[in-house]
Amino acid sequence: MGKTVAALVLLASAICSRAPDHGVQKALAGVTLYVAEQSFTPGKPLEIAIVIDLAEHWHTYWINPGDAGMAPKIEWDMPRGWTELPVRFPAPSRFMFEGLVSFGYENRAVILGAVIPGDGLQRDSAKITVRTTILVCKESCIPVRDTATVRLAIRRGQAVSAIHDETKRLFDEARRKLPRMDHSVTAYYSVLEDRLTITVPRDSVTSPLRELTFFPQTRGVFDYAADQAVSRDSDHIAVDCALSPLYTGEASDIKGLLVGYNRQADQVVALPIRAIPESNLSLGGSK
Amino acid sequence: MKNAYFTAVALACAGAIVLGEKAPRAKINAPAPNFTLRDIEGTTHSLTDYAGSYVVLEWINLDSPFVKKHYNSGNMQRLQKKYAEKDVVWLAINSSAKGKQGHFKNADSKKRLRKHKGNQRAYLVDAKGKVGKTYGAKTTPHMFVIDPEGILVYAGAIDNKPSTDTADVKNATNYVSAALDAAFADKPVKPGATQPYGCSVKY
Repeated sequence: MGKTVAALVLLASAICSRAPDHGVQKALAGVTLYVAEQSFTPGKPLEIAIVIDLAEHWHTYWINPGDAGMAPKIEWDMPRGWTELPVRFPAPSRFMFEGLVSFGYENRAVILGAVIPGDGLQRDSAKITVRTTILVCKESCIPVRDTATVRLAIRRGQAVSAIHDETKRLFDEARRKLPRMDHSVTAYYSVLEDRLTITVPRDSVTSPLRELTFFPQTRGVFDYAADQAVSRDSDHIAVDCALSPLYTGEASDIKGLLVGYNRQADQVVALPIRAIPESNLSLGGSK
Repeated sequence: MKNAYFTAVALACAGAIVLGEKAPRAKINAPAPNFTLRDIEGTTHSLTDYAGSYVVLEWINLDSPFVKKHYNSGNMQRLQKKYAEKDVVWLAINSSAKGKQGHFKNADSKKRLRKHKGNQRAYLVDAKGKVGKTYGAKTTPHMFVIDPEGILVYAGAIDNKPSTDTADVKNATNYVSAALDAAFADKPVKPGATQPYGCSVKY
């Protein structure tokens, strides 16, 4: 399998000037769906993992792809009356290529979604289809479109259908890599010349995190390739970032993830940040 | 995971050192840096040649799936034609380095442009990437609008649909049109900058 993928990756590089063959697309990236439970109950959210497996050395992108690239597009096809909840992306990594920085994933990305089954199904089973469009890149980029389907049975009585241990582990690991929405942080920022400093209250970062990096979700503000400087005092953690030379000062709130490594737990932790302008604090807020 | 994370951070820091070098860079609402480049016909063009006109700079790589979206749909050619009729000078710039995706011999570039029926004033070759880096061109396409006084009034994406799907063109808000139309009407260009989307420029 490894040799086959390597050969196809080389082939993909060679044919980048033509429309990519579907077989090559499948070798570069494949999408599989997993469900947290094999059966559903109308009205009860059901978690679904969208697993993107990538060929070696190829990557795809986070919701903010960075200097180049494209965020994944995910479309659901479900029975009438069913609704989907917003998907959640894992904390990204940072890739540098020829001076440009991208945010995304290598090897495997597990995006967690959920659906709420509706009432009134004519059958005892349901089909959920997810269509994904992602951009996979190494030196060149290829759009990959894939469709994955899962079938579910309606739950009868109190019976809970078993799922494989491997699937359970997949969900557990995927949840660990998600931004900690229960620990979202309100911070503030200030701009001085071509630098922007995000100041986070120290007590809002509950675990001891090292190697902190801010991944901006708000676009068009930062020079992604420039270094970030992190400083700490007893009350605050400050992340000093370079502004994009093309920044026009039109952003108000800035959103992103503060990502760090918790050595004790041997885990990367991502905290959602919403930073408001420091000038807004002087209108009645407090640091 | 830990190793991958630290590797990624280390790479980012290494890149930051490279980019820490100070070079002149384009800024919104500031004079657009002058440049001189040769086109695929062998003619030399400088930005100052077009003082007094609106100028659009379009970073191009005809192998980028995002550029293909706008050329295969005819969107880019329509824009070029529409604004050429309003005396806007539209310059495509190819910053793909020799040996990289999107770099062609001039004869091949001409053939490809003929196939696409491109309406740009000129297709300029920037194989050393100097102009691309000065302007901070990151993606193909990456669009810049310069007013008759030589001020950069817009930089960023061509529109608000960051995809490779030609079907998205018809429902997109085109930022280049918006910038030019606002400038023609003496109105502020908003947004003045957006994050571009596309494949990276192959420096």
